[in-house]
Amino acid sequence: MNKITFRFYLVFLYAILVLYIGGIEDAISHGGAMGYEQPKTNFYNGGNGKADYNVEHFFRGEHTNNWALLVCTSRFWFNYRHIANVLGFYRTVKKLGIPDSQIILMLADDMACNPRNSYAGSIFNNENHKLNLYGDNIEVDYRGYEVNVENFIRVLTGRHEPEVARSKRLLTDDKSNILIFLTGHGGDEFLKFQDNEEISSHDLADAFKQMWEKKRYHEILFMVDTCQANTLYTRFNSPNILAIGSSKFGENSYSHHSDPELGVAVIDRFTYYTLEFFESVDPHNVTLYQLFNTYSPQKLQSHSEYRTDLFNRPLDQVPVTDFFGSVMRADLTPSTIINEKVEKEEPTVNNNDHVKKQSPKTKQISYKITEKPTSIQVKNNKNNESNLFNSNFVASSFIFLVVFGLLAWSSDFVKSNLILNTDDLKDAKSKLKQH
Amino acid sequence: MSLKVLCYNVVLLVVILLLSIFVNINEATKTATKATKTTKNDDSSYATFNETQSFFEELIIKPLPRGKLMTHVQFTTEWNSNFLEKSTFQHYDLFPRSIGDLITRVGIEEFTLVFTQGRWSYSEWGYPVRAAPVGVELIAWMKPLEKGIDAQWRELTHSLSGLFCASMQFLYQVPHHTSSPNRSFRPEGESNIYNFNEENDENNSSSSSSSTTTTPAIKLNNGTIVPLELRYGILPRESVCTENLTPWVKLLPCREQSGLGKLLNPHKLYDVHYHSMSITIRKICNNNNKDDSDSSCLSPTLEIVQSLTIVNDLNNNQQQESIETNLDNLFGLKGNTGLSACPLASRSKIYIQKQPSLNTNLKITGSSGVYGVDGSDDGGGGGDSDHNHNHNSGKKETDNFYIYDLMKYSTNKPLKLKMSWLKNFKRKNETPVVAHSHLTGYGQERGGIATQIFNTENYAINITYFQAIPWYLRLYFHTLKFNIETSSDEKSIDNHRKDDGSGSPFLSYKNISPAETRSSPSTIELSFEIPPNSVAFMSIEFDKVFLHYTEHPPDANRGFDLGSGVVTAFIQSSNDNNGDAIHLEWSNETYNNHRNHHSEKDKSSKIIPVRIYTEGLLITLPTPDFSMLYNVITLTGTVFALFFGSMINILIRRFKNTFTGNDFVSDRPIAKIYRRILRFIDGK
Repeated sequence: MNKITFRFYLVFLYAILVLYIGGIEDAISHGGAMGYEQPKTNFYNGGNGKADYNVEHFFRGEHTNNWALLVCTSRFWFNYRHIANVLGFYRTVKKLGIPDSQIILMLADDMACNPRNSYAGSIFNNENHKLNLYGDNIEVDYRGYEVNVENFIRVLTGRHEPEVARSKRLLTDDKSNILIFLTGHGGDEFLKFQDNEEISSHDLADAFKQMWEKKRYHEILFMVDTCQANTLYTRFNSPNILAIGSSKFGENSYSHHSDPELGVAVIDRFTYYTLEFFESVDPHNVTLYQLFNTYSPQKLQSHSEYRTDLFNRPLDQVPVTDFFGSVMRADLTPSTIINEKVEKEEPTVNNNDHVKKQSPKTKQISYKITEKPTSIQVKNNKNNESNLFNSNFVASSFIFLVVFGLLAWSSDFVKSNLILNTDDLKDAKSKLKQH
Repeated sequence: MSLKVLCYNVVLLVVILLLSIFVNINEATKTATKATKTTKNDDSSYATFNETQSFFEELIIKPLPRGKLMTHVQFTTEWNSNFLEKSTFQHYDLFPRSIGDLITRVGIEEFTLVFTQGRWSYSEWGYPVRAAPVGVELIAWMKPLEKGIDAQWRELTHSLSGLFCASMQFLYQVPHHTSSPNRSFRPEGESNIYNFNEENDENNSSSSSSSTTTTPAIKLNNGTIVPLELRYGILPRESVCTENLTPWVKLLPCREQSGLGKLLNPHKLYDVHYHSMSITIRKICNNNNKDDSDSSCLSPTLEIVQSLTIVNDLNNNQQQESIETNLDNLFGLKGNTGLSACPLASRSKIYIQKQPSLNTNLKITGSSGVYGVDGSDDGGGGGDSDHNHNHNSGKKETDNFYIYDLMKYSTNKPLKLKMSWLKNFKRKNETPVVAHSHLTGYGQERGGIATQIFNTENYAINITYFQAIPWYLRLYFHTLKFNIETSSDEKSIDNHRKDDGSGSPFLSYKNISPAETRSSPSTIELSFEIPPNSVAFMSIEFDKVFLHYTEHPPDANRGFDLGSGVVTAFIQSSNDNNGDAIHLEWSNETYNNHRNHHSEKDKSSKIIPVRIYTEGLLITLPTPDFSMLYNVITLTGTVFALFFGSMINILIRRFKNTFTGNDFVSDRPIAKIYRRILRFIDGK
């Protein structure tokens, strides 16, 4: 046997081993440690197969609920436009179906009932005063002094005191799409809260990372309308975040127009053109790509840039309603008890059959939800065809042990039997002696 | 006697038997809305009543001098049930569930939460239906649970802030304004569970008004008596706007869709002179539930009173002599639809106060012609007598009110009200007790607070004064001065200036507790009798404390708000006032069934506790230059970075070649194996 061929064999074995272990890990993460193989895709849509599952999810996104976190960080009357920005977004998302219970609205000051406001109880984002953003039915979750960096981070990460009311919490899960809109006064990698404290881009990135690790979101659309907004999202390093800012480093974000009756600017350009876009199109038929393309430097007087490298889907296939609208969808996940039963009966049973069998028991299913499939795993499902059986696992570990042992003792083996060229041996010995 | 008891027992037994049968039938027919329940009390007597939930709405309109108009909308939801059972709080009908949950979770016996913007002018307008300080006020009576009163208070403030979109949790987190006064507040409701402790009888004898010396307590199921805990907090800076109204309206059965709720249009409600929105939860005793011994009732009724008081300023035209308005314009009703009752309400009425002794010249035009003309000197006229008999069309007239019964109107035939009255009518009597407070002194180092309480009546009035002052004002209690001056005859009162001890002839009660830095405010609570036609002065001086840099709010330069002082005056309600100064006696008319002082009045001398709030004060504390910190940091940082850093580098750094070729080799076995493998694969 040739030395080279032997080396080739070893390397080949290595490669197979690595692949196999990778497959095992994948299967473990996918099927769960219990080691059953459950064709969940079929479970979702009545056995139509995986292609349909993907197609369906392609069109409606993989999230089951939508949340919005809208934050105005500026206090004082002359920052009227920031409140108007946030309320414009509030109105839009509410119109597109996100309920008040899933919108966390943070307003740092009371503009509607401010003594300087000549229109008590109203906030307008246009000088024509046609649309009162404050409306008759508004719920502000955090206001005044409550809007600070601590509370903002607490809302994101969910680390509240136990008494904090549900309406003040972002009760998201790993199937939630979150729209985060911030506006206020900012600078290079920071955003001011109430002229008093700042949040930095690192803080934001850390909070999002923590959210990702705690499975608190599925996808995030992060929008900022502030000066040098694009610097805020540079530090993000968690997956599935799409970020867009109103102006790049060194640029200001300008207001659109001011209202002579109120005496202050009423809306910022970035927000104005966002809301104008939503007013002019049918929001159910447009994608984020179309929205992002409406931001031209001529209109904004600043360069709006978005960051897609953390985001997995192509923008022209993401409908805006994935973030601005609301999806109320429940995915039935298989309960552990039924899975065990299936596994005991016949692991390779026809899926259609057992769906039919279980159809009278749907109530039971809905009560025993164990959240097994997650969005991350759905995405990485290239190798999940490889089934995991216990025998295979034993075999693979046996092979692994054998190969590892072989490798560990290979030098002695080579010394005694296999190496034909004695020069190599001498060479090795002399090197050993050197040490 | 024994025979009587025996009879009573037999009757009770029969009733219970019948009831059990009835309940069985009920269960069989599944009529859950009106079940008949029996409540077991400690002294083994049974209460029998229907479990009911009912809803009432009232609107009170009162013209004020100089073109102002007070409107007071009040919604009452009552729930009659067995509240000793936990399962009661699992089924709701008209009663809002969020409040029911709060009651069981936090152990609330009673609470009042008031949001107010603007200041009620007591001297000009008389007393409001429900007085309130500026900002948010929260009064809570809680029965102690296992988790402790502080945990309950914390939970209550957090829950309410979530419920009403306000920041009440600052009452717990930043306890500048939370206190527990001893005498100023009493539970507003009454029920069998309030047993007044009789232990402090010796205080009773010393004090003049016996009703304020005892502590309210609760008798638990096992017979022990636990005193109720009071927590009182004011947030003077809290704003009130639509977002507070929205959840408040959602507690109403008809919301803003029909009935008087239609008046709750935020655009008009916040464009006013004075605005006060309150919610009170209490346990009351309806007459029909009352036991024979009138002091206790066996089945308390849980009641939510939501009220909204606004004062409109209709004085837009200076030349005009009279004010004309209609209800639709006043509240901005959409499409001028007029008013009709909420379909769920069992009572829905509009009261318009006549103030017959005043020259108001009030004219009211309902849907069907002119209704009422003011009586006193305008002569009333023929229309009056006609409509007095017109009861079935929903109109009624009493001595003090024109009453419209909205139940008689429908959406097809709604009530549209027009009113007109003279702008500059004069009030006859002065308001009996008025209080003001001021800041004294100047500069940012020290200052003082002075309070005046005026008595304009011809009889002595008992007053309790309470003020909580945040810890960042360091009070000097030796500077507390108390002084009463009589304006009419100087000799009547021997004025002891500078009351610096317990030797005051006036003070019947004094409770002063100094502040604990960063945890509790200092409180002053004084009870005294103020002689007729006299003024009581109080003053105290303080130092302003330097706060930590982080303790300043974002708008520190605006100043720090100080909560209002509370004056509780025990005023005799005499008949000759005639609804002018004392506003409360209309309650005889409107709240006949469920007002607690109704029973008190019947019993004794018609002494009503009236609450007055002094003005909220704004104090400027010494504030640092907030940007100074950054300058210092930047400068220091630069110096360190440029000078110190490079010096350290030069002095300490040694230059050494640290890595040359292969001389760093690990000795660990796994490394050896790894080297062998690599070498092998490389073919060496």
